[in-house]
Amino acid sequence: MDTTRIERALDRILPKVEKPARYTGGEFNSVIKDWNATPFRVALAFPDIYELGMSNLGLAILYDILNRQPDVLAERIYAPWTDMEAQLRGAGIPLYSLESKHPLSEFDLVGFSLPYEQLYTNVLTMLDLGSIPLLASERDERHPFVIAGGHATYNPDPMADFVDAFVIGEGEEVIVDIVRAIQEIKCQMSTPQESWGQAVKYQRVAILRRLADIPGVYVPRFYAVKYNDDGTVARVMPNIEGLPARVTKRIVPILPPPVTRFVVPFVEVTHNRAAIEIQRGCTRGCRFCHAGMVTRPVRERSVQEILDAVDAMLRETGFEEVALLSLSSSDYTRIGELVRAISQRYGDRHLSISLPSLRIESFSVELAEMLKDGRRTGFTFAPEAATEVMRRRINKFIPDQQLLDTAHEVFSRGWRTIKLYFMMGHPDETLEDVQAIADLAKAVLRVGRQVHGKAAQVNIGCSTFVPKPHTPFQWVTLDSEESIREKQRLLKRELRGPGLKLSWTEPETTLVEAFLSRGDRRLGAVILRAWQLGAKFDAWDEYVKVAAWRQAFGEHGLDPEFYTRRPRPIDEVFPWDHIDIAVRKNYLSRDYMMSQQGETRVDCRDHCFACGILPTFTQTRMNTPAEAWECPPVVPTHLRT
Amino acid sequence: MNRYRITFTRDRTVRFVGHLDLAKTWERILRRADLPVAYSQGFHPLPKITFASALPVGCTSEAELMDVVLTEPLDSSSLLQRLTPVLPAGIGIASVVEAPLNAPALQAELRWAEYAVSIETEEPQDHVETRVRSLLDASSLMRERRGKSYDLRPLVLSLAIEDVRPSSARLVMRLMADANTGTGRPDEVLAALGWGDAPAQIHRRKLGFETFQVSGQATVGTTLKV
Repeated sequence: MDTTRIERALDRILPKVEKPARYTGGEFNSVIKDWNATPFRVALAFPDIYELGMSNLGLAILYDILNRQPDVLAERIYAPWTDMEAQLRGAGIPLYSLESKHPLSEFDLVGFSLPYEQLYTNVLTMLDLGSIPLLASERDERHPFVIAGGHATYNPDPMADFVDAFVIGEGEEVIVDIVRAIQEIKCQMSTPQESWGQAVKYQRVAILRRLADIPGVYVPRFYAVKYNDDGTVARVMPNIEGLPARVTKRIVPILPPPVTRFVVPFVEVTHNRAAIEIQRGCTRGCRFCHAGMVTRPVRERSVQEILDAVDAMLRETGFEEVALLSLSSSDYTRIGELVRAISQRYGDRHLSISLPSLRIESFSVELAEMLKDGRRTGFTFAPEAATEVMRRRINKFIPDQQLLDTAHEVFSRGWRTIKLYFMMGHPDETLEDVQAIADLAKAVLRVGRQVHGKAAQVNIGCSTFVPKPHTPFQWVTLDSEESIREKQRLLKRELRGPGLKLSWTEPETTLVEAFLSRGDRRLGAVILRAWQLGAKFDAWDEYVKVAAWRQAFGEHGLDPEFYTRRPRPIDEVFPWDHIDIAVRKNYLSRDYMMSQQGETRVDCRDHCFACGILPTFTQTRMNTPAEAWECPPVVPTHLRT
Repeated sequence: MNRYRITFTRDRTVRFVGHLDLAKTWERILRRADLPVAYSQGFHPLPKITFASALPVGCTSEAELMDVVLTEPLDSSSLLQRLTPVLPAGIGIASVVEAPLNAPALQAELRWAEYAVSIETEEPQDHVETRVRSLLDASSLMRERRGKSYDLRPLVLSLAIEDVRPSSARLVMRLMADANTGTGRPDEVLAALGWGDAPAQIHRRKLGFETFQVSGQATVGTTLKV
């Protein structure tokens, strides 16, 4: 179907769907290049709705990088909500890009961002609506290459059946390498020697083989998985010559210039703002935290670069909000200097500057005070656990008194609402540990009432811990459903009444996230079947269909419990062990054992624990200025004294 | 403080952008143009931007009107020059004029809106005429919207056939748009005509105010007195 026919058909269906402006494009700063004059075309796809996709910084970065290449265009595609999906199917309209309204299947490359696992079924919906065969093995020369990256893909194999190549690690440089490699081989093969059909078939494999040579690219078809009799993985090895046994993640030595020309949505989206990473990575070492492990090493931007970027963003987007992003803002070396400079520049311009992930200490309140814009929204802290035992176990240690003192500071400076994020289901957690969450939240409310009386509000978000690959807790079992429900009952009973609001994650949503997180390649068939049975939007509590998933598992002789609640021996080979995040497995296992002993580790800015980053990236570190990373510098051997 | 009146157009690209989202879009346009927009006082300061009338979702328009208050004087043409490069696709500016700071609010002055509506239909001219005549002949047209019943008939000030072709018909309707007495919606008129489900393109052509009216063609550089 050509673009004019798509546009005409949309005229009929858009008035019938919710929030049709999500499907029309045309936003300020969206890039529309001449389709016919641009030789290489990339679709950047986010497998959830527009509102979430537009809030994804990773895709915004890739959109910017690709569209800067004169011979490449990149366009956006998001998952249609269920009403729009039905309308598209009913009218026979393929899934199309927002910029030029071209069908997904007409792009050379389709890149999916997979920050979390519950998006997997939506990838299938999008491929299906885009008329691209779901299985990588069934695609041929007529079809785009389908790649995926993002935090979930550090365990890529559950999606191996559907994705031609995965980007492991940071995509800024790899994405261009991939585009160039595909172009190069297509050019070389433009005059096939053999019959045309054979040549192009060979060409697809040849291109994939070439992609597998790019550092940070994992092409699952060139790796075979062997299983033990008990269903665990025996090993994952290349099935052809010349490929490494393990694919090491790609990093950028220095953060590239930040995006400033963000696409400005016409409609409300989840994060309706410009955003800049002030640093990437985290030195805290919380044992449950996937991001904290996979994004090492810590690289900071300079204060000047951030200020210049914020200036440019405001000028180029007109956004009223800018977010300074990082996994732990308080750890940014010059946070005080940065925040002071920003408040001086923008204090009277009716802007809001958000600084998430602040440490629980009074300095954070000072920082937020400097950034305040008159709108006193809530103040958020994430203690994650409420007893000393649990805090030691997860390596996030904040004494109660420190939290209460900080809360007092927050309330007395005028904020009326504090949000507290906790997690339940930590290893060996008891009901007393969960009771302590309720007690602590109520103690914070009492502090608030001393200052604001009945106007004080404490919102508690308590999610359920899901063990993640590549973390010290990758060996841990998911809490039993019975226990999760009992703990949630306790919290719901304790945390009600005026001034308290509790939110939680439904156990069904948690279960799906859990088996997909630590799944192996056999889950591909399960994902496909669950999708056929109606699983989609699994991140949405109201949509997740556990019955479909259970049936799909059953039909393939597999059991969700095997992936979620089976105790894993410390020497088990994991389905993601062939993916090297540069943090060594023996570092993780040692940290896990320390956790069981109640031992903590300090911030690795203070002491290097040799996690594996420096031996993996020795050369990169040597070529990078000392201050660019928070890891200690590496001195070349011949210069050592 | 100076008040400026901007006549702007909305094409297909932004036909589904609702009124609140459009207001935010304009705030961002003004910020990109780096204009000294005045803010209200108080705990929750808001930019001083007001619109004459919300355009129903799904419609295009050549006669949208808004007022913005700036803290510094600027001449209208340089305002236009600064706004034009930072407009998103789908929004165009027809004119900018300065208005007295104490002029009444646009919403208070608004009386009617005129729409041109193209309906996909293969009905011959006489059938279309019958539909229109029976609507105009009715003394009341009770309809329900958002659970409330109301009479649509007095809100239809005029309704005429502009053109009938083999596969489409174009109507022009002038509907009341008055903060005190009520506002007629073009899609409701279509439904009352029995064309509730027919694909239609609705385009706002004019807005009529107590003392003047604007249309896309007629307002460049000036506002008309009736």
